[in-house]
Amino acid sequence: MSEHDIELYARLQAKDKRALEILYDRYEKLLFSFAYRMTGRRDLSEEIVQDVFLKLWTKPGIYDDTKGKFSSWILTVTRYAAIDCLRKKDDNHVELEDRDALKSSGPSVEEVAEWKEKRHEIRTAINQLAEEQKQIVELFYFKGLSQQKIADTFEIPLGTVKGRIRLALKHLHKKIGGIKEGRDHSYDRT
Amino acid sequence: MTEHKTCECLLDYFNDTLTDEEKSQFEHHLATCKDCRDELQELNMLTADLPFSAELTEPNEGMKDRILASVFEESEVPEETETPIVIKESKRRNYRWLQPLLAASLLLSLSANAYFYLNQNGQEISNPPREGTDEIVKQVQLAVSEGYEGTAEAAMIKKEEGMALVVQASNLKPLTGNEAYQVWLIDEAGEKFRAGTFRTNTEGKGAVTYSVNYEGEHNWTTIAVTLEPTPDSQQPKGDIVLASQL
Repeated sequence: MSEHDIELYARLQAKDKRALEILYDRYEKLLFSFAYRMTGRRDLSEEIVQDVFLKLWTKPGIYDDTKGKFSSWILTVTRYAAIDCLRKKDDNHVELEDRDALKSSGPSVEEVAEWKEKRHEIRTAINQLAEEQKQIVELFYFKGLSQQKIADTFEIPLGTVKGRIRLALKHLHKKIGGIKEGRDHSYDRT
Repeated sequence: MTEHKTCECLLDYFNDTLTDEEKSQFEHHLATCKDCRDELQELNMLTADLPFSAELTEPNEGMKDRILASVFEESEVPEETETPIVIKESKRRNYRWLQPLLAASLLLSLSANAYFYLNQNGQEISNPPREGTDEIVKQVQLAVSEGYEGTAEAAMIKKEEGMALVVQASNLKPLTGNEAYQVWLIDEAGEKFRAGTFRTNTEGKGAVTYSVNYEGEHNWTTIAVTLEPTPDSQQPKGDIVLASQL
């Protein structure tokens, strides 16, 4: 799959419109959903996805394989576009009350199987985190706040922010790992 | 900034909340600090799965058509349409705005840092572009700094004779006295190199081509345009007006 992405990217570099379209079809839902997850707004999410594909098309050499897997890279670009969008939107007030993001989801159809599986794992893991750690992940990763803003929001010393973020992310990573392992042994996906 | 304090910028670097200057300092630091590099890698690894936690959200109706149309249109029609510097028979390439400059750059010695004015009709650079093997290896839009106006695009062009940098700016603040706009290339080590000087015309437009042939190998990370008190600053003295990562 990812090799395929690279081939498409090479074709795209040669201004092959069809290659861009295939990549678009492949990533549209994931990027749009991720952008929506971060901004909570459909109009902004569309702008963000457009921004990503515009960069892909108009900036030759923006991606190469030293930047990691194409899928990870394009998600990172999407995240930065979304963060940028959140900052431009002036009402970027911080809400600790999370909309729906970290709650478990109802079933949905027509999804990429891999994504669905990952989502289940990650959400299960997130739900196992302490409330404060969930919020830290939310503000740091999904809202892209600075350390200073996070310190202000939680009313904690600036010097302790980094440690808390790393701890929360490491906990989360460990839990995801644990869930994956559990699945490999006993989790029956039917 | 002390070493310790610089390390503390890692998370803000990851979240892109640093100013351009801080960012370039941090990137310089990153090249020499293994701890920060490891930590950044770890951060990327720890967060790599998080986007997949997003609930599937059906894209907006008609979004694909809108986005693809707009993306393809963008590459064919340049944004600055008010006073286009376009040569009549010039539909052969995608980067239409570059053509007059490419043509002009052929007239200039590649070893010289030449600067020139665009007149209102772009007449002085109206030679048609040569069919050649020039290849755009990088093209960026520069972002404007707070308190300034203007837009600019830059492109690195691989020519047979070496690398050329082309910068075209518009809507810039008029210059006074001896002032000039100066282009800089900044490498991984944070060193700044002069990369062309230009003045604006009455419409606030300016452009320059520059032959990039400094001694040694450089991995360019940033391009910036500063407003300098004179055209001969060897290191930046004025504010950064426009900048972009490369």
